[in-house]
Amino acid sequence: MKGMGKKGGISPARQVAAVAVVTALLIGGQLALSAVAGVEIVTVLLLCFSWVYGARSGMLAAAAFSLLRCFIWGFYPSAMVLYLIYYPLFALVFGVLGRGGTGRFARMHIWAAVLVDVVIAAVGAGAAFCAATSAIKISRLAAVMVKSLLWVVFGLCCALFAVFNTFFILQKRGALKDGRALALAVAASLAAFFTVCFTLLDDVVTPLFMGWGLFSESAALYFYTSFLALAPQTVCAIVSVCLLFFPLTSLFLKSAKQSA
Amino acid sequence: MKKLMLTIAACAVAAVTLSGCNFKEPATPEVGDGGAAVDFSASAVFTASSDVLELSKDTSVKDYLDALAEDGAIVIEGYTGDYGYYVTSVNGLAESSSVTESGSSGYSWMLYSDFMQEDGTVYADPEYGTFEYGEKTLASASYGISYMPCVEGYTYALVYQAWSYAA
Repeated sequence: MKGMGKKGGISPARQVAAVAVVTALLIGGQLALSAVAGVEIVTVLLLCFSWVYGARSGMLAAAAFSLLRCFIWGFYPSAMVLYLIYYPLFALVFGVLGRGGTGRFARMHIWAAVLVDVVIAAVGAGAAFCAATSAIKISRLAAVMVKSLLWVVFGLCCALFAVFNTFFILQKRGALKDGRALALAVAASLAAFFTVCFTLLDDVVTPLFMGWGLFSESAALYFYTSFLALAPQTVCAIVSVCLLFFPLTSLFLKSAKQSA
Repeated sequence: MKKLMLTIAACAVAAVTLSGCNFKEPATPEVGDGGAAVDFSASAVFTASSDVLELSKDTSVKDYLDALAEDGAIVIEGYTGDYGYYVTSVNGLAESSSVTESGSSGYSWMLYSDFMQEDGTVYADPEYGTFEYGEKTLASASYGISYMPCVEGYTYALVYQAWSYAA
C-alpha cells in the first residue's frame, strides 16, 4: 500500500481534480453527520487521502475544506483560524507518514516505536485521569456520559498499546512480513492524539478571539465544556480509523493509479 | 357572535397555557458592528416550577421545555449536536445568518440563566454576556438546553440575540 507522492507520476491536473473531489466529500461528510452527536468522518477521510496522495495534495484539500465549509457553517474567524492551522498540519503529518507506503513500517526503528508508545500512553493516561478524578468541572447532566466515554478512550488506548507493541515485537523477530498492522496502529494512535489536540487548540484560539485571556475563568469553563465534544470524537477517531483505514487507502490508491 | 365567543375562549385557553412561559415578540432588530454585538429582540423566559414538571437532579432545561411544549406553551425546533440539543427556532422565529463583504452577521437563540454555579461547576458566566429580565440579571449559559440543569425557582431565558463578525 504505497502512497503516490511525486514518484507516483500523477499529473497536476488530476491531482487538483482529486483534491476537489475529496474536498467535496469532506464537506458533504461533515454536513451529513452533523446531526449525529460525536460522529465525524473528516478525520479518517483526510487521513487516508493524505496518506495515499501525499502531503501536498492533503494540505491543499485541508485548506480548501477549511475555507469552503464556511459557506455552510458560517464565516466565524476563530473557527477559520482553528481549521486553517489544524487540518493542513494534520494532512502534512499523515502525508509524510504515508510516503513510501506501509513497507517502511516493516523497518520501524525503536525510537519511532517509543514515540508512538508515548503518544498512546499520553492520550490514555490523560483520559483516565480526567475520568477518575473530579478535575473536569462539567455539568452534572453530562458527567456520566463524558466520564464513560473517557474510560472508553482509555480502554481503546490500552488495546492500541498492546496491539502495537505485540506487532512491533513480532516484526522485529521477523514473524511479520509487512508493516500494515503497525501502520494501522500508528495511524489510529496519531488520529486520537490529533483529535485531542484539535479541541485543545480550540481552547486556546477561541478565548483569545473572545478576549477572555488564556488563564481566565471563562477560558477554563470553555475548556471544561469542550470535553462534551472531545470524548466522543476521540472514540470516533480511533474506531473509524481502525475500521476504514485499509478500505479507504485501497480505494484512494486505486483511483490514484487509474488517474496516473 | 358564536365566532366571537370561540375566539375569546381560544384566547383564554392560550393565556392559561402560556402562563408558564413568557414569550416576547421580536422588536425591530439592529445588528451591531464588530465583535459579538449584544442586541436582544425576542425572548422566551420561564421560572422553573414543579407545577409544570416534577423537577429532579437529572431534569434538564430541555426536559422542562418539552413539558411546556406538550402543554402548548412554546414550540421549539432544533437538532442534537456534539453539545446537546441546539435550538434553531422558538415559536416559529428561526435563527438566521448572512455573509456580506463587511463580514457575517445573524441571529441565534442563546440560553441565559441565574442558575450560575453549583458544587464548583459553573453553569452560566456573566463574562459571556448578561440579559436583564425584570429585576433579575441572567448570565449566558455555558451549556445548551440538554446539559443545563433545571432547578426550582431559577429563571431561564431563550434569547433571540444578534451577533456579527467584521471581516
